[in-house]
Amino acid sequence: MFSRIEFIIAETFQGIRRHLDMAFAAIACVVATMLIIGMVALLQINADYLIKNTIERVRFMVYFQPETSRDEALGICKRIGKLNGVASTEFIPKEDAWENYKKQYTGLDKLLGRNPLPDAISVKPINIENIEEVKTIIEGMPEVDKVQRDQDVSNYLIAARSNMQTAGWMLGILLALLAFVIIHHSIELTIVARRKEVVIMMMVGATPATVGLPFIIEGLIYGFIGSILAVVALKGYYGMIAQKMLQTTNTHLWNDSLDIFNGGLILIICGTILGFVASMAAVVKFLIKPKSKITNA
Amino acid sequence: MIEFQQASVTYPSGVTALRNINLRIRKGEFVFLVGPSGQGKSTALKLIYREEKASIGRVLVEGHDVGRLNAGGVARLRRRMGVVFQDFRLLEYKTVRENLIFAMQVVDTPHAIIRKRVNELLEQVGLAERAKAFPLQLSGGEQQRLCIARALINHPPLLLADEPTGNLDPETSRDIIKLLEAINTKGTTVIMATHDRDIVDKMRKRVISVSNGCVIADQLESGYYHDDFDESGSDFNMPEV
Repeated sequence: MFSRIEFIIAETFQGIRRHLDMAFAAIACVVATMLIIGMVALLQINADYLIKNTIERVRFMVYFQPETSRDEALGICKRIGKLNGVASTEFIPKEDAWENYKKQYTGLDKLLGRNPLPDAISVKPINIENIEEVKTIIEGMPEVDKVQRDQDVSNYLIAARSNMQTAGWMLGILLALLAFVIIHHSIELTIVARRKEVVIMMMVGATPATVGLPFIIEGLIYGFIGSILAVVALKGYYGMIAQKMLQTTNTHLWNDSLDIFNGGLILIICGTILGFVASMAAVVKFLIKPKSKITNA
Repeated sequence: MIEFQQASVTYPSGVTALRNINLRIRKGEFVFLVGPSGQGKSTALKLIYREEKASIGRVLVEGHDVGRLNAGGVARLRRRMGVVFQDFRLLEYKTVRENLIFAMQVVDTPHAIIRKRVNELLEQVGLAERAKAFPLQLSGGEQQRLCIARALINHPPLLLADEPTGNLDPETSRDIIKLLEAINTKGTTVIMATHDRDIVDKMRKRVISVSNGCVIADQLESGYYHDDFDESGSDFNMPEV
């Protein structure tokens, strides 16, 4: 068993050595793919992080019709609190609101003479995406006079995140396909270049695993090395950008070290799988499918 | 040991390489498969080592229908036979010894056995003195000897040789045939495809003549090279042994 493993490893590295140019191309492609995917993921995570921070401050106010009684208003407050998409509600009696106004605008009470404010509820949504939906339901309640929301950056962030996500993933998928093709091609070339060895192996009765494994491991190595390089580059650049953002705009970027580690690990696994699948496809095409006549080569 | 049962091979292009072959080759036989080039000799060998599958009929090797073997089964089958080609198919960047070691490593042979077996084989084929030479430093005959040594690494009970003397001069060819005969004497069944009349007529072994994909003659003993190859072919098969 040991000699077989030894043999497979030796064959793998011989294959890489013989096609260093293709090996570099394959690894570079995996690096580019994983960099793009990693960047898209980071942008998305940071957009989510900013949205999450923004949403903590997002509220909208529900004002009642003047004839709505306090009991009715409190009942509606409970109903709104149970709606899907609502995190919490706070009932604001018109007296409290009036006191706040008076503090903010000195002399207002003298000018108006009486409290013109209705009872209101401050609603905190769970997320930004379904604010409009919640707002529509509340606006449909007959006791509600008006639902008001200050303009915030959330809409912009949602749109930006959505566009970024679509474009990023499309680019990522395209690059992944390109990496697949290059790794596949590189393994094909290795198989063709080593067809004599392959023929001999097949003729003396090597199992398909012994014949195919060196090529599969080769693709796996391309994927693994490429994704490790991408993760190292991403980590370095992201750290630099995060520091610069903090210095220049006092903005904290997402920086959860455990999640960054896990994300890097996921990227490495994805890159390795990409290399594995691409080389496996080449091995199946050339060595395993009955139609492949490598022995005639 | 080997049985062709109404075996035919038709390629997707529509070309029929073998038609309705019925043959039985016993353990320990030395059989010549003769006929002009492109008449189906190599295809018959390919059916045995499962490079090709019979489109119709079947081929049995040691009782196993080789057409029904999966990839693992094919690998096991090939460990029970050695194959020698006309073009040697040696690894030029490896020495004589390394060529043999490579062939043994891929079938998972332990180091200690590899060393012992390689020495044995080098002695057997007369290449012990040339163990450190590279294939391109060897003569054609030596290269073919190395090829035969490689085919014997797994102690196969069957040796298939596809035109092993095709690239060799008459004298070297005779040496190779002597080597194959010696291997056969030790109990290995040898099937050799050739169109070398001199060798066939001198050896007087079983001769199966193939023309246009058909067996047109099967001389069970003291055979000679068949002269009357019919270009149009025939469905005639000699009686089974």
